[in-house]
Amino acid sequence: MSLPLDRAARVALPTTESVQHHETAVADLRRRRDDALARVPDLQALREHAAAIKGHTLGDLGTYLERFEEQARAAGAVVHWADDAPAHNRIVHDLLAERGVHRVAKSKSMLTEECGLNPYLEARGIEVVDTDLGERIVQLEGEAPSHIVIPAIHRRRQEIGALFHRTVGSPEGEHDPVVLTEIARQDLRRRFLSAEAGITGVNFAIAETGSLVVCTNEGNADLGMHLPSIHIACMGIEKLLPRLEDLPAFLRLLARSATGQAITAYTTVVTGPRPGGELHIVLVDNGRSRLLADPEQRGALACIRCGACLNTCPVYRRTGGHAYNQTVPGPIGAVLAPAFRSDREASTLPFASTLCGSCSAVCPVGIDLHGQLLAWRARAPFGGGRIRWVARLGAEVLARPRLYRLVGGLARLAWPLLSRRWPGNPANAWLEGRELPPHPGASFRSRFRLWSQGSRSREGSRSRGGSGE
Amino acid sequence: MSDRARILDSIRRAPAARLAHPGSYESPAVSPSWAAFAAGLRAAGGESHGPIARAVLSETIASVCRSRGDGPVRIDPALVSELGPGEWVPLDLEAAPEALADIHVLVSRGCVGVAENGAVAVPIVEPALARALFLCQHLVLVLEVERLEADLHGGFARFWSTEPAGRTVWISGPSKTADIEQTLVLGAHGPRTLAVIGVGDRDA
Repeated sequence: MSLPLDRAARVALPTTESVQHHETAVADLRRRRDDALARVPDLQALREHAAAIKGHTLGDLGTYLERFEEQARAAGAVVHWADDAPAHNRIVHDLLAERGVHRVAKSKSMLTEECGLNPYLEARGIEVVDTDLGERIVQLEGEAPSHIVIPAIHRRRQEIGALFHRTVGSPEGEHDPVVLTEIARQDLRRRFLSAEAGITGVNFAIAETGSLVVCTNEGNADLGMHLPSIHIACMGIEKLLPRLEDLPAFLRLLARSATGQAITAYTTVVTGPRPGGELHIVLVDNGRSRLLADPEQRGALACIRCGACLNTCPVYRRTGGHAYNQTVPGPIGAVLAPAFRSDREASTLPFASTLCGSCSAVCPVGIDLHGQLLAWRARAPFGGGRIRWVARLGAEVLARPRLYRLVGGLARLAWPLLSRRWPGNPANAWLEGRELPPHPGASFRSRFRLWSQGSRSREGSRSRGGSGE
Repeated sequence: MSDRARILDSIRRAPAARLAHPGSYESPAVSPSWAAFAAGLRAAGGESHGPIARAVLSETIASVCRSRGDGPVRIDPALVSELGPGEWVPLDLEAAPEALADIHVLVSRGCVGVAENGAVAVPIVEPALARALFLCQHLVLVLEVERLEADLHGGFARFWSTEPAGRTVWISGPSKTADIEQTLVLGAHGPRTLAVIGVGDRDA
């Protein structure tokens, strides 16, 4: 069973130093994003254009999916459909098993994380090597990515150096990022060359041409696509754009919002298999059509996975991604979790937000993230229990002035207990790291009465003394 | 019912929210300049040379290749005929991936450049070229300065007005990563450096 976010955060980032490291790293991404977008003169028009394309595409998604399938097939790709994660994993495994594949080079794909593809294939004797450096780090560590763009953002160089020493034989004590990256390059290069199939995610797919678009900085997806003769591309059904002409707006926003780059180092457009090769495209629903049917929540399907909302979120910055126990963490993850999962913790994730609205403000495609979080809160199943009972009680008290005064008096008496003598108050996690402000001494009503009496007497003395004019 | 039918049925049963497509994007009118392209490329970790006259292309390529140190240099066969006499070794389009991994410098042709981000479009028709683009240690691209566009919208329109959808990579700078404590390291998996040589006479 997963832990609630507040407790999971203590496991994810267990020390003050780890929290500070994470917060600094994430805040740096946010700063780079701001700097990069400040240099785009047509930023607002670009965002509105991208949002309009996504809104249009989601409104006619069935038509665009069929057009994409038709064009991709015409270009020589094989298109598969998977209703859910087990179907996706089964399709990918069958494709590999039928061709006798035992070694796969895989590039970053949040969808395959969501579907649990790696453990599924490994349990069936297929070696999967994650080739993005950050993904490789978390794979060797045996943990999940904690950020959708920088998977190992929670790890410090010393930890990665020790990990590489244990797993790939780097010199003990070596933690220079340049040296560690070179060691990973040499290790992964031979794995690329021996891989029998490549699995990639998909950033965008183009309905008019049946093309896939894959963006990376490392070039690992390209090596996975171009070296082995079998390329399997796994994509959520929401990745579609109608036309190639629609793509530049998203490319101009994606890397700037993610890392502050004007564009990723490699943006590869693939239409059909390479000569002599095979291209399989797995279209995955896994709850997305259900989300599409929800007018309040469908906007989340416009997400382009830039991570900007994570980088700006005050909760994500301090908890780390693992605390969400969710493939996609942060505000967008807290919006997606209740749609894709049915456990109690998923329904509590929308409460892991200050509703400051910063996530919505930075979203390059204009998703109303904090509005959607608020909408999920109203539907939270446990709201029917304790929370609703407290709200009803509060309404009763507020409707009766005498009862209100009585409860206020009792609360002032209990104040010292609440503020000082109840650390780790299980009724309110907010108090665990904080103290309530000093006791005000008197109620607002009595202080207001005193203030208005004094005000009246000051008025009286002024009118008796005259203005002097 | 197949997964395909189930997914499409589920999508079609969702409450419709038909919104019009916004049409083509109108970019602010900016003239592309080599100086802006060079700045975009530099920000992406690459280096630019030129613009140079066509007559000195061979010697410029030779000079850039020498600056990358010793090792096998291979030229995109489509470019060899333009370079004139010299000891150019064309890329072996039948070479095994292991052999391509030994290439020290690969020289190829860019089709369209984008000033705002230093990106260059490279069509990848030949599988060996596609592999060599990512397996080589250093990459040099030759770009006609006349084929420069101010932004990505213009770059896409220009490129796909003449090329089939096919396979294309837009390259901006060398392979890079910042996955370890956000320290930028060039040469994560692909080329460690990228140089773009501009040919033609568009003013900087």
